[in-house]
Amino acid sequence: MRVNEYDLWFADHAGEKIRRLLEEAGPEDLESLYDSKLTARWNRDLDHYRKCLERAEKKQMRIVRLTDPDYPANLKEIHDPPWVLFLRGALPDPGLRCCAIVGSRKATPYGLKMAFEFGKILGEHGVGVVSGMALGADARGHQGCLEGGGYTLAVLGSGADVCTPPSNRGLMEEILARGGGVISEQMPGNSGWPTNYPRRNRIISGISDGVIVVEADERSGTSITANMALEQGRDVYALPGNITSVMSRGTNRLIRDGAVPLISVESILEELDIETAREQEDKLPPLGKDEEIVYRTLKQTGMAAADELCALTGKTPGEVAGLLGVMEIKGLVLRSGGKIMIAK
Amino acid sequence: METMKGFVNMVSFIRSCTIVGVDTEIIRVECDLSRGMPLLNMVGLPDAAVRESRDRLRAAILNSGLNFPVNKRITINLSPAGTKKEGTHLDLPIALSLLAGAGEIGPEELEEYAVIGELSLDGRVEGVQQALPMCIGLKQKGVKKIILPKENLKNVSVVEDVDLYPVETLREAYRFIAGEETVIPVRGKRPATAFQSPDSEVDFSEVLGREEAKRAIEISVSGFHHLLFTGPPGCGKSMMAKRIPTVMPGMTYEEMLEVTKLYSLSGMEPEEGGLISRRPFRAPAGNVSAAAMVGGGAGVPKPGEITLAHLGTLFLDEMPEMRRDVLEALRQPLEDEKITISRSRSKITYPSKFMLVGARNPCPCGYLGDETHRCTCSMQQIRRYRERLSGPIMDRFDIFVDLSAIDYDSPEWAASMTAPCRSSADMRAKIEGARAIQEERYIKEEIRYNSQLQGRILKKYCRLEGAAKEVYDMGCRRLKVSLRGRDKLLKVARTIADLEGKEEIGAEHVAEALQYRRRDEEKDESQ
Repeated sequence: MRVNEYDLWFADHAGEKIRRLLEEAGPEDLESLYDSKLTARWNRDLDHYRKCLERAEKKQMRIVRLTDPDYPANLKEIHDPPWVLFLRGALPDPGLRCCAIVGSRKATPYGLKMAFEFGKILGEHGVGVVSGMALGADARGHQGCLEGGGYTLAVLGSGADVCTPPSNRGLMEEILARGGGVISEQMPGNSGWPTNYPRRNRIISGISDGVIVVEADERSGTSITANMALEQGRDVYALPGNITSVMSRGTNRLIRDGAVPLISVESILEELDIETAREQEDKLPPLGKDEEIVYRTLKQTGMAAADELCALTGKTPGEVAGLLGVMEIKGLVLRSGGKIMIAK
Repeated sequence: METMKGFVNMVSFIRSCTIVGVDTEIIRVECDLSRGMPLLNMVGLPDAAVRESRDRLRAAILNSGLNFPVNKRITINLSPAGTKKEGTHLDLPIALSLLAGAGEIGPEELEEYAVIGELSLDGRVEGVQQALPMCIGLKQKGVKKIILPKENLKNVSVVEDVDLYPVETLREAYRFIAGEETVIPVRGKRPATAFQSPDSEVDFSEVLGREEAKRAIEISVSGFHHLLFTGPPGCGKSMMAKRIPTVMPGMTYEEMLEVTKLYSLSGMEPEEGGLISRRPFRAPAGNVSAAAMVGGGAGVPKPGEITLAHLGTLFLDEMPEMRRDVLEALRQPLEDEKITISRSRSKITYPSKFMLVGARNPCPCGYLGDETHRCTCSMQQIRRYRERLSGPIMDRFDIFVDLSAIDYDSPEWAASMTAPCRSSADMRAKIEGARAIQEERYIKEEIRYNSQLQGRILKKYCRLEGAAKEVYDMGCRRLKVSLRGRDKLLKVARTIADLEGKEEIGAEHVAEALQYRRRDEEKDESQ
């Protein structure tokens, strides 16, 4: 049966009462249900939903209903699955395992780097990466997965045809071009209200088998996702961080509350029971003596400013800057906001 | 001819000058006395201050015990008549011209002098503003002898190869040109001590644990590269900027004259007289207007901060908080090293070659990326904050330095406290070495500093060989350096090599230059 405007109406009014009515009547009889059981106090204007249907068609979206066979199985199990999903691109194959990568939009260089690395290793090992395509950690997770050649799915809080944030348009197009998908439960054209996002997060965790939290402040959207995932019975993995870092407070707390700490990039594969076929391919490029001194110092301090490196290695700022330049080219160190850290 | 004297009027000329923008234009004060209704007319676009001199003139002449022509129709013309004349310094030349017209001084006797000075009612000659730029200009136009108020002598005596005749009263000046009295000229000469090391009360040795930023300043000053600091509040951005003058190399005599002239034009002459020997350091407040920044104002546009920073440093703290129009107004001077202010009837060009040092926070609240503080800004706010420094402005910076907050309790900080701390004198010595190398290298070119390299001469002087080329190619490719960024990379590497006294740019110089590249483009891409 084709999805019609009644489906959209019910999807958009997904409250407790409506759901009960739906369960009683069954999905095939929406039209009479709509006509008979709903009183005048509901907004019964169907024109809007007809327009939404047209728009979805124009934008070449598929609408997947809860009762459709390819509706993600994981998502069906959660407490309040969306009645319909608007889809661009492809849904994950039924057998594909998916893992969500979520994190702060203001993630530190460490968080961004790690989101990318986890995305990449999952992509390389055939695990789909689900995230919200937000700035910061989300986007890096998607990018990492694409880099690893995997399937990635973006769940938006706006209509699936509206790129939020607009600056990620390039990323969205790449996801679609590389066989990934973009889904949303919001009507096409919806520009994304802030209140949509907590509900959007239930889909991210709902579709996934596990959720990796790279960095989160306490009481952030990311923390909401993590709690949602726990309620839905998903595994939650958290990336440990410095206890002094604001951005690691949320993740460290999650670990205290029982989330699985990810102590290395490869550890996620163990957690998901995936054979680590891949040996560490890329050995470190050969380091000069001075580079090695700086590299080792960095390893000990974790993150350091250039001035601290000068002081600890006894080299001049010019020398340290030169060494860092070479090491940056080799991809060994990362630099952001005045801090330098080890990249690999 | 004798019989004609009754009909042909005596016309007398005195030379003086007026300031047009930064230039001095010689003007001729002509005076004609003819029979007719007693009347004094002044023509030739005098401004209010010049026109008022009519009233001073009569009183000053009479009170000096000289004769004011009676029953004469007096016409004073300021030639070239099309140029607007400003300022009270024309009092004395007008008075002398009038006296000469009435008396018996031949015009030829006045030809080699130029005269400036203001009159008071009792006939004394008062000092005038902007005497120095006028004298510099007069000298450039070939005038060798200048009659000027004694009060201005001290300021002006730094102008080389000019005979200065200081006068105190109108009577003295009149008797001098009439040949009745002698005034001993003072020959202007360049000051003996061309440059004293700045005895500033601040020094870079007080900046602890910021060696990287000090290095960046060293490079910037050496090659005159514009520099942008990004860092949270309290990380020492303005502290370091304030110390930049202490490492600035000395100025040549010509540079000192130019700077002093510009300050004099803005009424900011050094009170103690003499030349400004320290390179300017200007740090306009955040709420500065576009007119105050680039120059402007009613009437003849006055030089702005960028002109006052000429040959020195312009420090803009909290740059993104400045008004958009002010920042955009910086674009032309950053490109052309001068600013042209157009008015309906005139166009004035002021020089503005300065080293721009900008500072900004990483985000509006300042704590983005800080480990111990929570950043309270929304992503929107951060993006808007970053965008306030538009692309063309960001493109002008060659060196970008990100600073992180100092954690004063960390062991690393304790270690850097004990590390050797470079003083301003150390840094200046290196900088002067690098400057000397550039002066010599560019002797046949039109440029003087590495930051001015572009196009053909950039390729000529920044050739990379062997390992340096490898590092450059690989770095540009792997770190996704933009095309514009690549040119900057070369220029900065050239300066680093000069600082180290190396003829050829080495791999380590390129690698170091890479550390000062612009990074936020990359960040935008990834987020």
